[in-house]
Amino acid sequence: MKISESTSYPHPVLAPWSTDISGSVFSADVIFREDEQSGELSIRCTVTLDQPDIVALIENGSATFGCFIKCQETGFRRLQRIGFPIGRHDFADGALLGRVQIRPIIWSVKAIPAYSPAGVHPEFSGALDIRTGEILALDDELIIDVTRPPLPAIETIFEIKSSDDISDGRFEIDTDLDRITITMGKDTYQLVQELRQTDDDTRAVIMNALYVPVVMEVLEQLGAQGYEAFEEYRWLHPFRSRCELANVDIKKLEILNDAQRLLSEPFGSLKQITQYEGDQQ
Amino acid sequence: MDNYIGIRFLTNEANKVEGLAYAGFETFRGSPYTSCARETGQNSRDAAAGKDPVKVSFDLLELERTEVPFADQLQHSIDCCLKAPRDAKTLAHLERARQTIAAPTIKVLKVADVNTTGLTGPVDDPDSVFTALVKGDGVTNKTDQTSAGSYGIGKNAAYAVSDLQTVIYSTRYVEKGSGKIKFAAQGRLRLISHVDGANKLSAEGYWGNPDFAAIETESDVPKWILRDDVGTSILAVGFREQENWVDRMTLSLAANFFVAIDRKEIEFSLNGGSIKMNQSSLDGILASAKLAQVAQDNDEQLELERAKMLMQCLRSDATERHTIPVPGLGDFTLHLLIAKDLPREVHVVRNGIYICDNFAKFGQPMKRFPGTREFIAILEPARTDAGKIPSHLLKQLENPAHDAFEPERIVDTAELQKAKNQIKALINGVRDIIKSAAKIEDIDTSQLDELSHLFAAGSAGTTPNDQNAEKDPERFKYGTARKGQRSQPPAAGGKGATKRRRGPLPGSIPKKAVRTRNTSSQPNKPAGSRQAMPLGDVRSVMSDKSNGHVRTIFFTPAADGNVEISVAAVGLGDDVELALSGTSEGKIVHGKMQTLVVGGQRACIEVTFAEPFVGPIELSASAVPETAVQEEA
Repeated sequence: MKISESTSYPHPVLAPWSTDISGSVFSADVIFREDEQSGELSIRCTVTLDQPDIVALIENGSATFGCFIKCQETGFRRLQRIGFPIGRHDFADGALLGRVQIRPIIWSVKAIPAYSPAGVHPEFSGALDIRTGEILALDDELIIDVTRPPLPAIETIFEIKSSDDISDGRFEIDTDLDRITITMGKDTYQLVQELRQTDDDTRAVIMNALYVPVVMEVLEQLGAQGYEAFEEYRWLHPFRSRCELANVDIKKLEILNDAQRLLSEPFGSLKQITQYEGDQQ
Repeated sequence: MDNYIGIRFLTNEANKVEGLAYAGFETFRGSPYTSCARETGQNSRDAAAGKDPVKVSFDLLELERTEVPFADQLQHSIDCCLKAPRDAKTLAHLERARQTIAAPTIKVLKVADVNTTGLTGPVDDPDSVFTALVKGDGVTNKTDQTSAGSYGIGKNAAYAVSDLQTVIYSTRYVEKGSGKIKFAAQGRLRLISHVDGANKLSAEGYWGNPDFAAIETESDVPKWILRDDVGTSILAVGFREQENWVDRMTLSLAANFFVAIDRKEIEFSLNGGSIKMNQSSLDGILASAKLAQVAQDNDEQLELERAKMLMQCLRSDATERHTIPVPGLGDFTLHLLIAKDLPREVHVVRNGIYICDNFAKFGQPMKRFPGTREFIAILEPARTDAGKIPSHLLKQLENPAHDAFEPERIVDTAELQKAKNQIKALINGVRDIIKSAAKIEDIDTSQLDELSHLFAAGSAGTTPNDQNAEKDPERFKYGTARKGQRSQPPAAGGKGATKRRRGPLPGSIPKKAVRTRNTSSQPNKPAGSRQAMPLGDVRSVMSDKSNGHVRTIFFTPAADGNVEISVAAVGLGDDVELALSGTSEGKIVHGKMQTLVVGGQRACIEVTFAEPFVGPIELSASAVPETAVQEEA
């Protein structure tokens, strides 16, 4: 489908650049939400349309609103129907990338006999029969830029590892690596993985049950040996920056309090677990 | 109007004591508006005829008492009921009913559908749909075994919104055999058992012809009972109007029928069209602040949020669709959307209508899905022939409240066991798909990305702690789409903004009618040597739609002079030049028009295409130098 502002249709088309139908407005505001982790994109459209005949056609199912969406990078081209006057569409991960062109359109989905919208230019003499699939209204093309799929967001300095050498229910920390590595038995590892990926409640649990003691252990080692002892490992610089930002001085450690500060008071996130249904907060 | 038409109660020779608490009505008493909307909507959905969506309207009529032909009779019957000793609750109800029928105006809720079969007759046939709806108790009026309704109980929901417990059914249907359109109307009411003079009467009465027969002559009923089209009207007389009845019904319809609406199987209109619920408007209705407030006021936020999430599941491009074949039964479809912040639930839909989220009474609560990522899913019988028997089975198992599947509804032991095994196989299939598609990664090492926002160079160092904020907002980037640049009208000589291609549009323009921009009137002259002439406010009109050869074009040239105008058919990707064979102004030179124009003055020219074309066009113009005009002359 090629849509251009210079195209002349053999029937009146409501558009901001056209005088085919005067005294009416059709415009669509498009807000997009991009999930920077998954690359999924949602668009939400809010349509302004005050041409009563076209509104009636949409309401009685003879016409519909949507957007013609084009993405050169992925080859995506689709006329996507969207709810009117408010609608949303979710695109699959990676379907759109880079520059995406969005053209709001109203088109006929049924034959419309004797179409003669209010405000039609007198040069369109008399009513016209509209076939299915004809464009009735156009808005200016809109552009969004979808960022590339996430590069490793911010490189993590923590890693968990499964090991047959450690009995289940226990974990150990190794700071003599580029990443602070937490090693645990296979079943414990599986449990931690499930808790990490299940929901916010279980993620809150793992934050407190695993990460707090790990950070406490790291602080204790730093307090005892100083930053110099870990200079060769990549985890040190981000950890040190975080300590400075949170005003944690490894020479004056209050290990329990400092660990909580570094993790942004993780105990607070446990509150949601005990909230009863119907609680507002 | 025929004098014999009126209300008649069944006789009560056994002195049976019948109170107000009729089981059929009591089912819906707790949520009258919600139930009335759902049940009447479902009846209409099941009576669909043709390919167009079923349209159901819910409108409030305010009638002068004189327009209700049985008002006096009904008031007399209520007076008789009031004479019998009854409990305080019954007395209060009857007092309210008397006030309602004695008032100068009487409110009626009219639920009317079109694009349905109507209540097919014959009206005196005990097996007809009309009889099943109007006179049947516990009898379904559904002819389709896979229809959404199950027990014929839902029809009683309309009585729950009538203070008079009086409902009139009116229908136009196509008579089998003759193909003629027939009309039928009859009312049914239920008060309490009572005595009228010497007559002992039952609680149940009918309005219509003598001998409890339906009215089949349209002139015998008032206008508000008549119909224009084939379909059914249900009229709840003495409608109990509460302030937010429209909103409560809207919520019920949106929360239950969202799948059928999205598939254009049904549309609703409420309150004289103030709310129109169809595929286009559904998103806006579900997202409206008003509906959210109604849901909150009526403790139905869960239903509303569920409908929104399931709509996302239904429409998202990220949703996977899986077919689950169940041996000996047929196919189901699982729509599975895996994304963060979804509740790990599977919801069952049948005939586009929401049912429930479990098979708990089969020992399959479907509440725990350990080891999976967050998801939401819709499970429904496949929308193919292979889904018909599964749909019938679910219909058998569905309870009247439409919120659970109950195995004990199948009486035959062998059939029951078979159904249990089939449902178990279905749920195993669902679990297998979810386990496979939403499986949590099982690798030996994993980086703890969730801490990277705290312990990484350049990280923010804090996480938002707003309980009301969207979960994990850092994942999302929001933005507003910006306006692109408008394209300019194409200029002649190949310098236009649009691309012209050689060759015809597929299936539209024969080759002989096609010229490309660079093979114009002067093939030896370099392309683009003429100056482009902007044309403003271009319009093209087909004065005779049946004649694709002739088009009237209007434009306003930017300057005076001789111009050459070419016309191109707008194609899917490129444009194709159309050869002109005639013009009302100027002349045709090599398939293009040359004419004298005056800058700023509107031009109106009728051109003739060499081959017919009825689609959109583009004009391009260039000034023709005087020398060229002389040469061509």
